[in-house]
Amino acid sequence: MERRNVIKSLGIGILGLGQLPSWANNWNSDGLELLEFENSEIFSKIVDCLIPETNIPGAKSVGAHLYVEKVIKDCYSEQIQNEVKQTLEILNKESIAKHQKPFEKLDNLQAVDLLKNNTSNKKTVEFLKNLTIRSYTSSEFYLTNHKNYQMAPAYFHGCVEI
Amino acid sequence: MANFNIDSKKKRTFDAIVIGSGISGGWAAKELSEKGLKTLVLERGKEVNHGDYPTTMMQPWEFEHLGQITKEMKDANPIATKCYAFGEDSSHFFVKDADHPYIQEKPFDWIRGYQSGGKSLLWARGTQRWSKYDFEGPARDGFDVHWPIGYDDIAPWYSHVEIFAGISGNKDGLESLPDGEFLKPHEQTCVEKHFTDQMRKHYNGARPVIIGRCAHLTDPQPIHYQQGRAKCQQRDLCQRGCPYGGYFSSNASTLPWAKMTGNMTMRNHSVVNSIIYDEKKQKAVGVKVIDAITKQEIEYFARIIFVNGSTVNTNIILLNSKSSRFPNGLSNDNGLMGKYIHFHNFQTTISGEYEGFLDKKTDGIRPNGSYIPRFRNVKKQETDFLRGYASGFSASRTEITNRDGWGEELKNNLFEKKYGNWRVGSHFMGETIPKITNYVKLDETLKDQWGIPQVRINVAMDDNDAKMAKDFREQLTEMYTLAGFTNIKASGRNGWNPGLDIHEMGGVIMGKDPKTSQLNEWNQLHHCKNVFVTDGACMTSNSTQNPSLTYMALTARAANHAVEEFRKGNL
Ligand SMILES: Cc1cc2nc3c(=O)[nH]c(=O)nc-3n(C[C@H](O)[C@H](O)[C@H](O)COP(=O)(O)OP(=O)(O)OC[C@H]3O[C@@H](n4cnc5c(N)ncnc54)[C@H](O)[C@@H]3O)c2cc1C
Ligand code: SF4
Repeated sequence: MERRNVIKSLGIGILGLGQLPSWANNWNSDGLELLEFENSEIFSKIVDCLIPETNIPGAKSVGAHLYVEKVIKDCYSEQIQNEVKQTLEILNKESIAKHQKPFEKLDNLQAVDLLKNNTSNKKTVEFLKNLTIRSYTSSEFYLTNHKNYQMAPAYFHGCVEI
Repeated sequence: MANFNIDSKKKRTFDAIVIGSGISGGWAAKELSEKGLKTLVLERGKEVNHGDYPTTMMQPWEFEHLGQITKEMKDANPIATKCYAFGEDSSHFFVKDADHPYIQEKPFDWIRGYQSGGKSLLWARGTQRWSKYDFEGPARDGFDVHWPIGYDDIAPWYSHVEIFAGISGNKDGLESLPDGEFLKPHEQTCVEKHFTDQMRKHYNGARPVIIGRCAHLTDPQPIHYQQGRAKCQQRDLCQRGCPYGGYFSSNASTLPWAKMTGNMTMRNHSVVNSIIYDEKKQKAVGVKVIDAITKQEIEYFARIIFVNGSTVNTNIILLNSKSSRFPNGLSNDNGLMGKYIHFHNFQTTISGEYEGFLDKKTDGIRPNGSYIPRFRNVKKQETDFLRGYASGFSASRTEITNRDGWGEELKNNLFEKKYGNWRVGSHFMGETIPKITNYVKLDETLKDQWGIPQVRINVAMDDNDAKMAKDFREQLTEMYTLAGFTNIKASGRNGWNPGLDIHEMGGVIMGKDPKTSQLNEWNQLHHCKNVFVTDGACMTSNSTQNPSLTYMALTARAANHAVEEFRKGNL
C-alpha cells in the first residue's frame, strides 16, 4: 500500500516535468501490484546518482527508474532478477553500515560511491548502469536534443563531412 | 429449403478462388479481378487493412521495454522470436508458436504471418531477378528435376510486377543479375563505394558489388499514386507496416487494387482445409473452409483455384485434399508431393572494420544495403561444391556512446560526439540443392485446432552446404583483406536452422515430366489443371536471389494464362 502511494506520487511529480514516456503514464496501481521488488525507491536513487539532474534533465526525469524496474521484471530471467535483488539488499546493508540510513536516502555522491566501489556485485551494478544508460539515451529528451532524431528523415546521404 | 440451398450455393460460387493473401496471393487476386473474374480471396488470419498498423507512428521512447521482447513472450515463442524482425513493435504480425504447432523431425524454424497481407508486411523487401544461368542450373548440374521455363519466359512478367510494385535499383548491366524496371537507386556509403571499386580492380569485374534492389518507392510514379501510395520517407521501420505505402505489401498495393475493381471479395478467418475434387468433371470444383473463429465448415466453389498459402501451408492443403481418385493428395500420382523442400543457407556471416574515411559519415536513414551477386560457378563449374551464393554488404558509421564514469562525469560523456571506425558486414545466402530426402508430410494422428493434420518437417543441410559456407568465409575474408578492412571475423551462426531464412520452397515443384514434378510450365497441377500453385512451393530450385519477386512474376504469368484458358472454356 505504502509502496504504491509513493510511486503514484512520484509519477505525478515527474509528470510535471513532461519528460515521462506515455507508457509510464499508463502505469496504474493494478500493474504495480505485480512487482516483485520490495524496494522500488532504490531504483530511483540508482538512476539519479548515475545520471543526475543538472541544468538539463537526468535519468529520473526521463523515467529511467520505472523502465529499469519494469524491464528487469518483464524481460530477464529469474536468475538475473535474483541477482538484482541480492545486489540491492547488499547496497542497502552497506549503506546502513556506513551512513546509518537506507540507500535511497543517501545523497547522490554517497550513493555513487557505494555503487562504484561495490566489488562483489560488479557485474550486476554494471548491468543496472547499462539499463539506465539505455533508458536515458532512448528518451525523447536525449534523442531529440542530442541526436537530432527524426523518425522519417526522407533522405540518405552515404558520404558527408563530419 | 432446397431453394435456399441453391441460393446459398450461388452466393458461394465465384469464377476464381485464391487461397492466401500474402505476397503471391495478393498478385493472383489483382490479376484475376482486374481481368474481370469474380474472385474470392480466402485468408486464414485477421483483417489488416492498409493503415491498420498500431505501432507505426510510435517513437522509440514510447515502447514499454524500448523494443525488447518480454521473457514471457520469448518463453512462449522460442521459434518465432528467433526472427530478427520480431520485436515489441512487430510481434502482433507474427504467428505465435503455441497456436500453430508442427512437428520438427529435424530442427526447422518455421516463421509465419497469418493476416491480410501475410508476411508481405514483415519482409525485408530485397528483390532481384533471376538470370538465365539460374534457371538453367538444375539441368547443367544434374539435379533430379529441371525448370520447364527459362529467363525469356518470365522476363516480361518481371517487368510487369516491378513496374506496379515499385522496385528501386541501379542498372548495373550484369549478366548474372539482369536489370529490371527500376526506380531511383539508394546511395552507397563511402566505404561501400570503396569496396565496389577495390573489387572491380582486384577481380577485373568478376565480383561486382552493387546497391541493393528493393521494393521501395524512391521515386513514385502515377501507377503508385493510383494505388494510394506515396514516397518512402526512409524510416526503416517497415516491419510495423508503412502508413505511406512506401514499400510494397499486399495490404498497400495489390489487395486495395483488387478491391477497386469491384470483382474481389475477401473473407478473413477462413482456414482452407482442402480442395474439393469432382471425379465426374475431373477437376477441382471448390474448397472446404473452416471458419477460424466459429470452427464451422463452409464450402466455396469456383472454376479456377490459386493456392498461395506460402510453401509449407500450400503443401499441407494439397496433401490434405484426398479423394478416391487422389488418395495421397490432389494430383499426387507420383507420390513426390511434399518432397524436394529447399531453402537458402544463411548459416554464416562475416564482419570487419575500416579505418579510412574517418572524416566522413552517413546522414539520414536507408532501408537497404549493398549486394554482392553470385560469383561462384555462374557460367561453369569451378569449385568442389555445386552452385554458389549471394551476399549482402553494408558499411556504416555510428556515434559511439562513451559509457565511462559515474554521476555527472558519465552524463557529460554521454553527450560527447565521437565516431568509431566504419563497420562492415556481410550475410551469406547460399543455394541449396533440392533433395528427395528433405520433405514435409502430414502427421497421421495429430491435428490442429481446426481439425487439419499437423505437418511433420524433415529438412537438413548437407556436405555441399558446409563446403559452400566455408568458401564464403574464405572468399569474403580475402575480399575484405584486399579492401583494407581489419578485425575481420567470419563465423557460423549457432542455432540457425533451415527455415529461419524464411525462404522455404518446393514440395509442389514445376517440371517438364509429370513423373517427377507436380506442376507444368504454367503452374497447373499436372493432373488437375484448374488448380494453380504459384508461391514458393512451385520452385524447382532456389538459386541465390531473394525469392518473392520471382513468386510475384510467376503468379502474374500464371494468372493471365488462367484467364485466357478460362475465356477459351478450357478450365
Ligand atoms: C523478416 C522477413 C524478411 C524477409 N525478407 C525477404 C526479402 O528481403 N526478400 C524476399 O524476397 N523475401 C523475403 N521474405 C520472405 C517473404 O516474406 C515471403 O517469401 C513471401 O511473403 C511469401 O509469399 P507467400 O504469398 O507465399 O506467403 P505469405 O506472404 O506468407 O502469405 C501466405 C498467406 O496465406 C495464408 N494462409 C496460409 N494457410 C492458409 C490456409 N490454410 N487457408 C487460408 N489462408 C492461409 C496466411 O495467413 C498468409 O496470409 C522475408 C520474410 C520475413 C518474415
Ligand atoms: S522506410 Fe519507407 S517504406 Fe519503410 S516504413 Fe519507412 S517510409 Fe515506410
